[in-house]
Amino acid sequence: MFLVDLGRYSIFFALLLSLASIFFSFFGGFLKNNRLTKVGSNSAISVFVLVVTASCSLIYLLMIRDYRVKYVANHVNNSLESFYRFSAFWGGQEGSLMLWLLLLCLYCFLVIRQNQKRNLDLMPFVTGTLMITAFFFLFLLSFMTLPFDLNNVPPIDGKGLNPLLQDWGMVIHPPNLYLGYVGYVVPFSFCIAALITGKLDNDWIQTIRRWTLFAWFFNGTGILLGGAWAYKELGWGGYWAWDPVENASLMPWLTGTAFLHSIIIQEKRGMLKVWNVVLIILTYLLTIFGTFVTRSGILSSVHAFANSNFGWVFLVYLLIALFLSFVLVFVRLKKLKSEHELESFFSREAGFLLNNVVFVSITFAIFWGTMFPVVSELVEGIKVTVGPPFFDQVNVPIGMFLLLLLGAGPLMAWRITSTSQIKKSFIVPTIVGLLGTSILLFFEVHHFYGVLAISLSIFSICAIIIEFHKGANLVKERTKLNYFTCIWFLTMNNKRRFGGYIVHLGMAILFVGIAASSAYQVTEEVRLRPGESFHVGSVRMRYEGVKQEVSNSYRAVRAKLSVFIKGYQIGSVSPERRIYFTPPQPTTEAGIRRGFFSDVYAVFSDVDSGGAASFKFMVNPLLNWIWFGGIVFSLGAIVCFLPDRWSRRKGQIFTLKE
Amino acid sequence: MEFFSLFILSLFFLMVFVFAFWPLVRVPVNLFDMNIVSEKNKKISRLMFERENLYKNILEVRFDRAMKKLSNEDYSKLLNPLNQKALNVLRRLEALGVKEGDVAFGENQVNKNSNIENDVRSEIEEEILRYRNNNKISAQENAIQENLSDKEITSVETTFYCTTCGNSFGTEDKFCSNCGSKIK
Amino acid sequence: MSANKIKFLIAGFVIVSSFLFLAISGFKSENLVYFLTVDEVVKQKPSSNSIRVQGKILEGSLKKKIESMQIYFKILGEVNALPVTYKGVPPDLLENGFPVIAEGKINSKGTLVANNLMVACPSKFEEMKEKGDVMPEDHLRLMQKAKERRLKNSLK
Repeated sequence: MFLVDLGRYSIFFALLLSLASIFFSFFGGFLKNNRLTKVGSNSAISVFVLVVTASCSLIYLLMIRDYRVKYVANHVNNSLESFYRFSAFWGGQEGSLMLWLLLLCLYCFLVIRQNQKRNLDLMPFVTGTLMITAFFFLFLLSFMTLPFDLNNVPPIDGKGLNPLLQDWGMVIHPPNLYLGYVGYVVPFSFCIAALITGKLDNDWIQTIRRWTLFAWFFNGTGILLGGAWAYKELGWGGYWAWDPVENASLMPWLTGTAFLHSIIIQEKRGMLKVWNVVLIILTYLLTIFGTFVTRSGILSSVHAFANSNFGWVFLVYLLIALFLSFVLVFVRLKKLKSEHELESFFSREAGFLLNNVVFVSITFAIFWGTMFPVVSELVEGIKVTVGPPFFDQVNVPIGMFLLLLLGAGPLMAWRITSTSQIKKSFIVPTIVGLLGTSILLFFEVHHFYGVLAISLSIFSICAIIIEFHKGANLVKERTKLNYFTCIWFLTMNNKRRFGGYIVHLGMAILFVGIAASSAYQVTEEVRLRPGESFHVGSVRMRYEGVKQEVSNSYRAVRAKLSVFIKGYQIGSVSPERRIYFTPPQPTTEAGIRRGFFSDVYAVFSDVDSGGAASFKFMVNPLLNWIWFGGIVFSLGAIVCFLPDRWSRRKGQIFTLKE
Repeated sequence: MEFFSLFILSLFFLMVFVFAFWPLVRVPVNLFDMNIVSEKNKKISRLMFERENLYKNILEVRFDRAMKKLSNEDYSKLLNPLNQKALNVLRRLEALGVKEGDVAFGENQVNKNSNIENDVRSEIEEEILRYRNNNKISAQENAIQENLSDKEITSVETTFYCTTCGNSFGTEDKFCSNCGSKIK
Repeated sequence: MSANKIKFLIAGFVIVSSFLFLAISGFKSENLVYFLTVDEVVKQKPSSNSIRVQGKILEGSLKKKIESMQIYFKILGEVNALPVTYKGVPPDLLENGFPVIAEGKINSKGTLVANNLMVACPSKFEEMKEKGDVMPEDHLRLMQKAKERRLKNSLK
């Protein structure tokens, strides 16, 4: 009970201290009083300490299986391994909010530590804004959904973790995504601080660049991992369903990408200041909105947490935050005037602008598509949803522009690319792209958007490779080193530029994977007896038979099929139907044969006494290019993140040795 | 046991609260606290920040030129204003007493660059000097008010500097009071 | 305004409005899926649009024609039950009494021809347990016993 009290009172006192931090930070900031701001930042650090204490208490209670606590009894049972007892910390409603809060307070602590010698004017307001968000979550955890509630009668055994969730992918996914989501609060707080203090130059922009990259990286990888997990575990052969919860994680990533690009423009040319501020506010609101959507029951989703009754608190908070942020922007509109104008269509600025318009349009479309049921219910009284066809129909054409920009952007220079030079840069990638198109058409691959997407991706990949090549040659002239060392040197001395190119490369590869696996997927459903074969696209599946298997936690029926292309066996797949013992639940495990050119995917059901079974087969061309592109994307993001020697001391106060 | 755990809990929370509110009792003096940093050092920091930014931009333009994205004409059009701004910043830094190699308080070394980076840096600075000489900028020219929106720097902007030693002087002087060179 | 600026404004306007147009045109009726209750469907019998209904599978109504991979069941609303057919490999957890979401179109006989069957994510079961909905748990055990029996039979 000691731990329960420790946890409960830690949260309560953290609530009070966060309030104190808000008041002292804001007052201290306005009055420019050191004592008050120091109390503000110290209280924020105290909040962090208390939240860590509460989290550790909860984790400990989970590990020792103290069923007196409701949360423990609901998410752990006697047979659950320690790894899953630990991950139960974020497996339930209350716990996941605690993880959100924990990360937020950690980030606040880090920001305070990082900025002891810089951004002195902004910091009080940054701390204050971070604590406002923390207060919101502490409020939820203190009054609406309490993690340390007790059971009246402690049960003998807990309910345990559903076997479908006992999978390392499902365990990693929430923390991964939260690392990203919560990360967006930091740039948002700096933005608010900049708006309040009027210091709307590039200081706040340059300070938050890495934080935004960090959040964006984990957001992006979280989405990809979620897709990879869904593909492997859910048995329908897809990786994305435009489900409201999926969309909720995608939207901040889209506005975050737009933001990452447009802050570069503000840094270089002092343009798009209003736009940047609006974008990061939007990203923050979408983050809170995403957290809201998964919990409120307002949108039906196969993913959503238990319907809660505190969705309205999120909504109120969202509306207040929206209102206050935009009032601030409006008040500071004069200080957000652009310093320069756009000079040419063929400049990086124009490319970035188009990129921003595209990303925001896609976000807009996804948002309305996701919210449509709510709106239609309010307006017409009937709930109408839009399914994947809507999202595909709207996003695919707009996405084509993105594919073009992935390559065209790097080819252009800042401010203006000389017309004479444009032709020289564009000619080779365009030819290669057209070559790709003709090859596809020659092999009778007909699908308008499929062909277009792949051609544009080829164009972009070619453009980027040529940029690397040209740059490496430049370095070679100067240093006479070997070619690959030159590429390394080039990248390490222009981390932002070439790291960005690597990210673009990864995205282009990813898009090829998405285009091919969507447009050219082949699905067949058939009932087979052992020994029978069936053709799926260009692949032949031969059903060998079934076997029964038992493990510690489940009993399974496993089918085996051999996979042939043009008479040669290229592998086999072994889909399973499992029945777990506790809690008793059946699951389907897909059999997947992964390959460079395509994935062969199989699930089955209804095995009869003769061994005949109903099968669903899918051939997904180039599917693994998606994950491979994701890896390249991650490497590029890491390169962008690494520190540059020149830019290490942004905003720092220098004093001369007296 | 009840009493003991209550005692531990109270102690813990008390310590946390004391830590939070301690600055009200006694503020630790830190040179970097908000209104303790001198105006001069704030100006120096801003200028050094500006200088790094300008160097970065100059590098980008040179790189784009080397990658053959810019014609000669566009290259000069883009580079000259940057050189001009960099020149102004360097002048102001000199006026405030900052010389190359000056070290910030509490830091080991501001510039820990590799050889190549130092070479590039000196190339940029040579280029700026060349630009200045080509355009024969006289000591009586006003510094252009660009890129520095901080109002605190305005006082620095309307003074004049001797081209030889960087010393500031008034409008009436005919000879620089520091190095004695004739003012053109 | 300079000529340049006008050029950019026009280009921007064209691009933004074409995206907007695209987004709005996506809301055409083919893409819309109407969310109706079972009772509404039975009463109104909407013919052309895609609809989505949610409910529990009526006890004893689940029938499977394994050879042709057809599934038939009735989905239960407050008052009425709607017949549903589906062709293909069924998702897991499709058993009598279980909650299911079915999407598809109503045919002339008033049956929902489903093109998509969705079963709730396992964490939804947590919610049902907490609400005191005892049925699924018991049914899970019953179903497990049934499956075990079936397995034993099929692998003899």
